Amino acid sequence: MTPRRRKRLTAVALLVLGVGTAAAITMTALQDNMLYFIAPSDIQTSELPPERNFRLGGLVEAGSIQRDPNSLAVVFTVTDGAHSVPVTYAGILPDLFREGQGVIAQGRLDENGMFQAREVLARHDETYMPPEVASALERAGAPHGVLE
Amino acid sequence: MIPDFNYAEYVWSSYAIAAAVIVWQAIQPVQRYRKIVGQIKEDYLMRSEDQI
Amino acid sequence: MWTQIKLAFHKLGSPLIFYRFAQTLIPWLWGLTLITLAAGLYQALFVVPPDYQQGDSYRILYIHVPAAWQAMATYIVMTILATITLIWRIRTAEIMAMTAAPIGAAFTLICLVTGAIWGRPMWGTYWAWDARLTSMLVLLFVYLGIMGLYAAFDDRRQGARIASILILVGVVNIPIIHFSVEWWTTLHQGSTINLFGPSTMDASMLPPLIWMTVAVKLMFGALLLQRARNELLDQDQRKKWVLEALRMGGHDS
Repeated sequence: MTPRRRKRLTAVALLVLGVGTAAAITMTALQDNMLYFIAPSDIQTSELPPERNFRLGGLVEAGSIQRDPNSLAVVFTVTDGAHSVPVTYAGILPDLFREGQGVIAQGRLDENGMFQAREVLARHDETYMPPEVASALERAGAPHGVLE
Repeated sequence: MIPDFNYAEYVWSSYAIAAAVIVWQAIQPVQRYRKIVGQIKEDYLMRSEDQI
Repeated sequence: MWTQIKLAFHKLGSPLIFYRFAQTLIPWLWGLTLITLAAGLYQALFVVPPDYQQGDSYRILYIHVPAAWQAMATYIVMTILATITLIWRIRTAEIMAMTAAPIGAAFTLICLVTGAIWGRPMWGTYWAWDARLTSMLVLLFVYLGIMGLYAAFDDRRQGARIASILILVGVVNIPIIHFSVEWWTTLHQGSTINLFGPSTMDASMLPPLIWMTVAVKLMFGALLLQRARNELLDQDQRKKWVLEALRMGGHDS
């Protein structure tokens, strides 16, 4: 390699290194804003102002869904295993919404600790399998649909 | 197995949109190639006529 | 071995050799693309079973995922070519780095659109500003930026060098796209296919994904060679090698 090319190689390496460092610093500084949702366990530690809107993410606790037969209103519990938060919502739920499913609710906590959701999105997990395999796994007692 | 076409409309539309983008990508370079080769040939013929 | 690689590297730097190489390879690449694409589409649409949660909607994945992988792979190829451009100034590398950008943009577009179409019924929204979706949108704009910057220069070689610098700046986005689902919480699910670890897709659903991925890679090769060949011809319209390549050298055509 000629000295000229070596010089260019150094410049290229420094450019990539510099941009990478700048990006890493920016992302560390913006860490909290890069999160799309927070888990029930993180609500206390995330220092959110009480009236602020945020997105709550977790699994719909099994057996917690209560639908109002006369309206679209629904109450369910979002859990991350350690903590759980009750959520109330009135509106159309996505196809994947069901017990044990990952969900992301946007809204705010009221004075009673109830999460008033304005929007509920289903979060799909990265598992794909045919229904027969899923039911076989269920019979064997293996859990699936775990939210990271 | 008998093919089952009863998928939701959006499944087919996403395949259709992807196909449209791919076809556009495939046709574009072929057309450009024809155009450039045409230009070069025309230019070459004109220059060889000048020499005569 | 090393000298042979070096020799091939220099040979492909010659426009005429590159042109002939591309002309030979393009029909083969397209032929293999069509075969693998047919196999992949047939399996994706008619053979693989539905998913236990999503039913048949997950079949969108067989386009979305190969397109997403190719959108990122194209950028990695461009980064290598941009590095060669900046250090060795090899013209065919410059041209390939520049002509890969619109192909990468097309695959990014396919990825974003199919993802949105799937997201509406499954998530409940077409779009979310989470880290994965946003970084993928940034990739589209980076591709468009590279194309725009290259087009803005009258001197193509100077344009290629400046745009190569932008390619190297933008490569920081590639690890961000890949790791976004691990570093932050996102609406987008985590990786299903893991090269270093267990994949969370049932084996019966994998074959179409493999076929489609191979098809997309071959298609990328064909498209890149076609575009690079065109750009070379366009830039060198009056050069001797062009007449030789088109068999017009000295004779009446």
